[in-house]
Amino acid sequence: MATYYDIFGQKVQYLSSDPANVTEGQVWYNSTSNTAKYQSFVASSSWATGGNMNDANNGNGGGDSQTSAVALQGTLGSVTTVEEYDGSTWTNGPNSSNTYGSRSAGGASASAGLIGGYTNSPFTTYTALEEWNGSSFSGGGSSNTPGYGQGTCYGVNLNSLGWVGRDGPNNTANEHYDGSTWTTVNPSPPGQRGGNLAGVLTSAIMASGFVPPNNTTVNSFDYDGTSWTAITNLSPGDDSLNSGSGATTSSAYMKYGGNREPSLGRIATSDFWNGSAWSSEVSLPAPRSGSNGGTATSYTGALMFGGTPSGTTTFEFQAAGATTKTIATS
Amino acid sequence: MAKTYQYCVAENWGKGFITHADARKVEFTSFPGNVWRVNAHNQDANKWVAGVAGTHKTLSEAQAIVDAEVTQAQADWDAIPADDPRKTEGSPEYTPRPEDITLEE
Repeated sequence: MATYYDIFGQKVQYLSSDPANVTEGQVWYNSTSNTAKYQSFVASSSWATGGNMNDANNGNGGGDSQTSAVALQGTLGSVTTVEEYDGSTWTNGPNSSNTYGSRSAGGASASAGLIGGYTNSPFTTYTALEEWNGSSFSGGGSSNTPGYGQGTCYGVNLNSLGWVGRDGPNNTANEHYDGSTWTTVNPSPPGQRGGNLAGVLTSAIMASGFVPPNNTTVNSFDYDGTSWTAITNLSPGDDSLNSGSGATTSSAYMKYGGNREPSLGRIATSDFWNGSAWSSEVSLPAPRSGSNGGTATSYTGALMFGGTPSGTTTFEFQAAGATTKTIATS
Repeated sequence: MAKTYQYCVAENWGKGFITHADARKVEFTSFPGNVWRVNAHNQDANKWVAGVAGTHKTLSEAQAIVDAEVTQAQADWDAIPADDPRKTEGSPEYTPRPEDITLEE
């Protein structure tokens, strides 16, 4: 059998970490992860199915990548079991303390927060934060203003979360969390609440949201930690709530799926924001909403899990362009 | 008129059911009842249906499966009390009545 050296005239590089500036076709062995890898190129974006969740779940969570994500909350009054994703399988973890509906999660797979929520009879909204460290929950600082709304919390770890424009009595409240205390800062754009938030405290995006009385809007905003600046609107029909997102800054964000209001149904379309313009990305195989499965590190690792319909489904996004793949032995 | 799509019933088992390679070659759309729509007259689509052990359905058969699922979902929705939050516009639990779905040939 011919070896790599026989074919290409050189040995596979043996490296302690993945190299920078790799070229298409380059092969190397990562001695830290004990995996052989190569740089590939894909001509078009795609959504593939990932592992199914154990429980029908609203999929409200965070994560680092498609191989390290966490779903922190289910539906009102029922699922509180955490599920963790390793790229192929969801594994049940501990339960969160509260069964509030429509809580919002943000952060990474081992450093995330689950904030707010509501209960019925009488309708009540909450300020409680539960902190997730990758293995257990503990109580965090309560927000100054109660509320709920799945896509409204953002950030890459527990020490820098934002919660903004949530539903509830003060629906433009904007707060920053430093790991112990929530601080109220400039409110979100007037009247726009429940939007899809992603990014970090100094560079975030709010895509769509509710405007009075109960309509979703194509209006979107960039947030620099202090001020809100209107950006280009989404295309008509792509306004939606509870859609997935993935971003580390406000200039590399993807919005996918969600539900349009009032009563306009779910959508399957995906839109990518590069910091200056929206472009259409490949659609999900079916309209979905209720999910918030963006990963914290990159839109290219976008993951959509749980939601409606069939709340156990997971979809994994792969962007067109260069991509690093692991060489399997079977 | 040549048909554009073909239908099958297949259960999404999760990882590997639709791969990225599949998704770049075949246009997938899912419907209630585990009904999947893929391209007609397409070898990659044919291979995918076989690979997931899908059961081919004619348009009318697929439509009947979807109709049954939607009818049940509509009946479930109709049975919800009128004052339930799931039927109250503005409530975070509000869910609109499932709509009929018409499949394309």
